[in-house]
Amino acid sequence: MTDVVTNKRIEAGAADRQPLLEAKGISKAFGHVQALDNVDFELYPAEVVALIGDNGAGKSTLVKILSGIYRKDSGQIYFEGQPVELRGPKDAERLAGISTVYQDLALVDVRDVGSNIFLNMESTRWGIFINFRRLYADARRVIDLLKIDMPSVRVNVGELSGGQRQGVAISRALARGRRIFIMDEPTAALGVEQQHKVNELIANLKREGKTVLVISHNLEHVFTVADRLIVLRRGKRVGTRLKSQTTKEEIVGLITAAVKGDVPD
Amino acid sequence: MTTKQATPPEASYRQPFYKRVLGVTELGVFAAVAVFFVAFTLADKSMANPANLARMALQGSFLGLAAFAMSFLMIAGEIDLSSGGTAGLSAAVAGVLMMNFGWPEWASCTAALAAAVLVGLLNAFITLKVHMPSFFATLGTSFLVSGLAIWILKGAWFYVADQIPALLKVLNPSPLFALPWIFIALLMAYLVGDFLMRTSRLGPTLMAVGGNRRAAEIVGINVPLVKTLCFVFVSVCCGLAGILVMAYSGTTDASIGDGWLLWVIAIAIIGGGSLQGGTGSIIGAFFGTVLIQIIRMGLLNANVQTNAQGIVIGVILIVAASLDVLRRKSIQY
Repeated sequence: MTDVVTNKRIEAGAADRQPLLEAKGISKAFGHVQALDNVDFELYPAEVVALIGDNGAGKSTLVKILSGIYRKDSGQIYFEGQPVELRGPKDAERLAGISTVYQDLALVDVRDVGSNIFLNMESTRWGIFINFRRLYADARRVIDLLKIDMPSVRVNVGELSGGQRQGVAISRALARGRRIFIMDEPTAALGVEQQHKVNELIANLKREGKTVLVISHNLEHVFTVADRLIVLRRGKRVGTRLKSQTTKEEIVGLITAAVKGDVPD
Repeated sequence: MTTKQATPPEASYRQPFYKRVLGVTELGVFAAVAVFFVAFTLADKSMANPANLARMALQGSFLGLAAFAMSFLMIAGEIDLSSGGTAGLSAAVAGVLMMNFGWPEWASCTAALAAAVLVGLLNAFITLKVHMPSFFATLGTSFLVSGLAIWILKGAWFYVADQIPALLKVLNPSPLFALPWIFIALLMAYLVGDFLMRTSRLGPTLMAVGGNRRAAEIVGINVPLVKTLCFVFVSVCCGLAGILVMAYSGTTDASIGDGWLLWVIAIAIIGGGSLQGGTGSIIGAFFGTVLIQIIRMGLLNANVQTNAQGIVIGVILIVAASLDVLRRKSIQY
């Protein structure tokens, strides 16, 4: 039941590319609550997509299915055209290259930047001793790739600002070869300046050919970073808009049902 | 790749000097060891006497062994309150098997260590499968294993000194300054352990598990496995320490590990450990053991009443811990 309008708009933006990740007919219910109702979803290489909607619209349910935390009731997920079954977060990372950057970032504050980025994948000499010189050089390379302000990769993560911490969490996923970065409310706890840093970070990820999915309440932020906006309302995908072809008023309308969605409610 | 002007090149970046000095976790405990050793030696020359030092090394090795293992576990974010009980249980198992069942020395000790492994697995199971904080889980097993030791011995105690020729050799002086073999072995263990924590993947892994469990899970570290290994390691080391105390005293009774617990945790924390996990120092625990031993022996030599020793040690601990809090704060932004 993909609707014509939505498809047209996607094609307008994504030309003839094949989606990197595609989900078809995803449904998920919790008891009597239908959290997701037959939702289609697609991510293309090197784009920034914002997933928006009111509380309870199904954003986090969809994201948790994509990152392997929840199992879907029905539907199918494809990675590069191949069907994949995501039974857990590890599947999402290995089979679909999806990395989720959570609000708490899950960094080891007592270790330095380099050690955090390469945690549990440190290159060693003779299989035992960590090659620290190489580790810090590699860490510097990843940090520079994303143009993160970082005086040294030998600083403890506990001493960094919010934006820098986001950068370390993203670098950790990037170093693991991930291609899709799901960011849950990345600017929620940050000041204005640090928000700018995160925006730059997202732009740099896109420039490196990565795909970013941002879940956000902050429309201002969404309109700054996203190429494409997907609106969920009560478990349904009610609209997909290219940023260049929509307005904040229309998006707010889609979220609140003041504007009629592309699918019937 | 061009970087922004605001980012100085990596090579020119250095922490300020005072931070690099104060950032050394073991600074405080090392300074305390030096101060107390000099002070007690000035008060009473016998402190620096080689025979006295060798005796301190021997007596400190038992607690030192338990504290060695405990510092790994505490870095991994857990604690084991059953350490003293496990020591007592191992000694009891070894004693009963030797004396009542006529098992040879090596078999009895192996069985005793196997009992310690079981205690470690039980601690890990309650903590990780039942999801109880290890503080409570091991408090429970502490009573359990102490009770088991008493039950096994049926209130009796055994004289075992004639049955354990091999164990006694471990306590003999070595050619190196007449320090006992057990001390030499323990010092080696501390040095190797500390070296591996700094240079191998052991350090990052344990610090991630204890510092931020979710981070460890996200990068694919098997957190329950790491913690289980640490629990078992602590129990085995405590069991071994219990057997060695049995050898040292020549007798087995259920109270071998009584009062160990607070010492072991005090040593680990004085050495730079934290009850929150994630940080700590292996070699720091060694200095912590030395410090405790110097203070105990020094107070004894200085004729401080045994009744008053607890007060003095308590004050020293609080002062030491406070200074360490100040040190940590001073190096944070």
